[in-house]
Amino acid sequence: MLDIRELSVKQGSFTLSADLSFKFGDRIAIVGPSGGGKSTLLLTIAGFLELSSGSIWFNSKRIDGTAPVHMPCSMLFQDNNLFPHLNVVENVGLGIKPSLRLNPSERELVFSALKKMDLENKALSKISELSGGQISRVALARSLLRKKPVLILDEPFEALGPAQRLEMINYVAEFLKGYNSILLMVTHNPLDAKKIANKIVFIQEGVVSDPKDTKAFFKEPDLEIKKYLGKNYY
Amino acid sequence: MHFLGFFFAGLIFFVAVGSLICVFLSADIVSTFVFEDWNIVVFTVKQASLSAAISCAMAIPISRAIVRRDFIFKSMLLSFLGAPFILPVLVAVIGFAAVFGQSGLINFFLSLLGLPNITIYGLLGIILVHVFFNLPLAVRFLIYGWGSIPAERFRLTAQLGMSRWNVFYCVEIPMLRNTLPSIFVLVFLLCLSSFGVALTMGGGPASTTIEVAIYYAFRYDFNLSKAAYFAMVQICLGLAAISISYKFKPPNVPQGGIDRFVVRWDCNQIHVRFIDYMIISLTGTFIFMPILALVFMSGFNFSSLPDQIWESAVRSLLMSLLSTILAMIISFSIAHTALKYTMGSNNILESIGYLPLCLSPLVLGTGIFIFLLPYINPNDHALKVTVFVNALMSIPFVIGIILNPMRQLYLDFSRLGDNLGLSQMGFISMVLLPRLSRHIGFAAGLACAISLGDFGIITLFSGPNTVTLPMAVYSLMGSYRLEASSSAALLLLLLTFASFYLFDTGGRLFARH
Amino acid sequence: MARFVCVFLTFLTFSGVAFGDEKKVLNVYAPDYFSSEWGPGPIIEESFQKICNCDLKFTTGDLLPRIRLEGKSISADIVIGLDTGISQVAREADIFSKHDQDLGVLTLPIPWHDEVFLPFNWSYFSFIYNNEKLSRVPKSFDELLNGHDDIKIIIQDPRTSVSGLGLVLWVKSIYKDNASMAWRKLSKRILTVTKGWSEAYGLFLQGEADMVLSFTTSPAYHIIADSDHSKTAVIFNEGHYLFVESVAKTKKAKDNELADLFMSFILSESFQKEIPTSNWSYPAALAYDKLPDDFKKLPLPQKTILMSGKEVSKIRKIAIDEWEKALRDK
Repeated sequence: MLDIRELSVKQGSFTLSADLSFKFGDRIAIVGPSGGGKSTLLLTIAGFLELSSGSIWFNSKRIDGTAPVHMPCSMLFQDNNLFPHLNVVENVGLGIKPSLRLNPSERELVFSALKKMDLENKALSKISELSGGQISRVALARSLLRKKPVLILDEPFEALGPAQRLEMINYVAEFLKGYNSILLMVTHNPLDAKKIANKIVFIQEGVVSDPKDTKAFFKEPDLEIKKYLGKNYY
Repeated sequence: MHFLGFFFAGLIFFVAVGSLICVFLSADIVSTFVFEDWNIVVFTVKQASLSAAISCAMAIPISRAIVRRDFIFKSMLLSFLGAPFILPVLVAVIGFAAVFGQSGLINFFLSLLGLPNITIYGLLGIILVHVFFNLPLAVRFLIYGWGSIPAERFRLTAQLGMSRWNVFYCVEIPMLRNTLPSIFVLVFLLCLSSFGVALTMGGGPASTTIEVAIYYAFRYDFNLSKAAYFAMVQICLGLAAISISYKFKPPNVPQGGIDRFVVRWDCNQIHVRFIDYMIISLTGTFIFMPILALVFMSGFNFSSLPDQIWESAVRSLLMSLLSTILAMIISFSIAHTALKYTMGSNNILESIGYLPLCLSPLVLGTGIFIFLLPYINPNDHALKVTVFVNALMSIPFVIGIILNPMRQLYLDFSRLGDNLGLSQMGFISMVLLPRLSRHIGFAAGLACAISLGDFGIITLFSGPNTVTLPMAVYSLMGSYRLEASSSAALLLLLLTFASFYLFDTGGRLFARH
Repeated sequence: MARFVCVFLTFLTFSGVAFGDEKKVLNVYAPDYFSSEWGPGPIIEESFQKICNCDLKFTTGDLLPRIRLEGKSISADIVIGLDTGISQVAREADIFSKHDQDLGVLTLPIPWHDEVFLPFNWSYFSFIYNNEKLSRVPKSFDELLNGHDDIKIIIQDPRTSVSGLGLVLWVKSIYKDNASMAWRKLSKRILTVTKGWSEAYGLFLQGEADMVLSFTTSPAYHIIADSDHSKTAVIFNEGHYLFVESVAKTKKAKDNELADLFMSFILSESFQKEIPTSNWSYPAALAYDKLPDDFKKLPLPQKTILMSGKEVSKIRKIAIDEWEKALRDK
């Protein structure tokens, strides 16, 4: 269980407030206009931003204020998820040991994660030689190894084409299968949301709405959401 | 528009090489290089490399501490970091001696503790003063480097639970590998042509630098050919250093605000914080003590300053403003053209922009004098020549500051500009100027400061109506008036600092992102 | 404020072009210190212009390189501020004409017969110390070299400064062939060598060293301007090297009456009595009893040392090499 209680985060003149609760198995799509606070919410949950008030709880344990590494989350950013001067194996290996001194069994783990993401033939490639989809998969492979119960995706696939994006969503779905997890994913694409999410959270001007069932969200959106989605999608 | 860039680059090259040739052709004896001369070259390179290496090494922890901590005096400290660099040598040496000298503060405390005194005169003194001058510059440039690291990098390392050392290896070393070599070369070049520092702190003829040897050849033997030889060696050394730094040229430097505070999760432990604040305060002390000493020596006695000081202050201010404008126009044109004609690594135009750094001011001044002599009376144009030479001397700094951000802007927006049909002027006024304003402000501040603090280029042609403030400071000291001289130096420092501050903060205010 | 506007205006036009009546111009080359309002420059300019109905124009800077660069086409009528260390080199440039002045009025401590260089002020090289701090003052050069006192001195580089060269010639005159030895001993006493007199004296006033190479007349400044009696010049019984600054008329000004007028003006009492308190040295042609009282109290060396210009040009390079070697191996 991930509980966000009466949270408020101030950034300059902008304030985000939220009160949410997610349970294991939830696949949440976070949608809303740019600048509404989607990234702020995710960065706060991942432990990067300080709370002005409220609290965050995971499995009945208060977790806000702990260092990002001890948060139960693994987050992929829009950019800069990989170190350009390290190769693929090294970038993934960071998920196990930041010192990169891996023993053979740990190396084994890295390769199996790469295999799951169909990257075994790219293991020793430089990051600059990879395509956009491959870069996302390397980052995802690293998150796979970290085994954090909450996976946070901040539009990491936005630059990919429709086919590749769909493929990535499948990888994510594959990834989440089989263990108790929560997915929080920012997306601008209703198709992606429909494909993977069971609930949708709408954020606008710092106000976070309650999660809605995906079908209901698209079937009977209120006025603000209608404005956001445009005619084709409801 | 691009012809301007070529024109200015040609002008710099012409003045640099032409002055050398003028000096060489006026020589009536042709001398050769002897073994002692090589000793001088070796010593020069040694002190310059050591000074640069120490400045760079110290700049790493200092700039990092400043970047990752948020404190009240941060932006003040950042502005004050420019102060030593713009201090006239004579003044700095006196302030420095007050702190580190025989009867300075440090030795006073050492003797209180019953410890033996330190003597700084010699190689140590040269290096110490060079570090004092150049460390702040290195710190300031490195802060830009730190600012170029995306915030996500640090979030990622935090999420992966990387230790400080892991972060150093994964994030910081790659940045340093890109930024440090060019900073090293810059400081190296500045120390290469060191003159006053080496002459006063050197302790004796064992510490003769190339520039001192040029002065000697010129002033006493009137051996112009030897002066020209030495100047040529200096240019070669400088160009070699510059071309080495090209190998490390950073591929791109994203824009980063200098007083931006980067949240770091790997260094929040109490002892790391403690060390950082220690480093910051020690740096502050090292930089401010000599300046404070100067302030106290002067006794704030501005009212007793002779009128001529005020006149020369106004003159110096106006001259430095003109120099700054000139330097900005020339550098901007050269950088603009250099980017258009080669986006690759090695760039002739860019190298010419850095050329003035390797020039001997003395040979340059003499060359211009010899060149002008047959046509006009150089005396009547002393101020113009000074304005021009000061502008010339600040061009490398301006280009060094604006070129890389400008290159990035071209990479990011030139296609958009072409697509929209923006003219060159349009691109400059719509994209380059607003996006570069913080760099332009910093560069203009530096150029203005360099011009204000300059001394010595017009030793050959001047008169009572061409006395600049630094010359007046020196002159006061030359007539026993140490106190008045310190007051005038303080005035010079205040003016330099004020103009630097105005340009620098002005640039930051106009910055739009 | 009016002065600022003036500066601003001359700045805009970039050269001080004189408007109105065309006065004759006397071009004078002088060392840097003539350009300051507290130096001798303005006094000379003002009092000379009173008697000549002309415009005296100073060009200041490094004299020797300038003279040699311009050579025979020199635009100066008068060159002032040539010292004994460089006079021979200047003479060899062959651009000066005879001064035609009566040398009988001179009050130098030595006879002076030079037909080209006309002295206008003089002093002795010496070391200045703070009499409140230094108790065991050496009475001779030998004592400075061999004494057990750990005295630290600051000197100037003979390659870049007049006084530095003066010291080298002083040492050479006293120790002749043993000058190298003397320098080796002296090098242990030397804290640092500065480019010019100003840096050295500044460091000394800050208390960096016990003694600094300067002139016997330096204490006069502190006594007269600051009523500070703590600075004293050492007097060595081997004698002190003389420092003489001269003025010379160029060949270009051979028949220029203004230039002749200037040369005689230099020796006039009205100008000579300004020298002590503007140049802080002895005037070259003023009776001893007309000096300011504080100057009369200054100690004078028993013996005067001065090499002729020819000797200097013969020995300069060797003497500087000895100096350099000794200090290099320090």
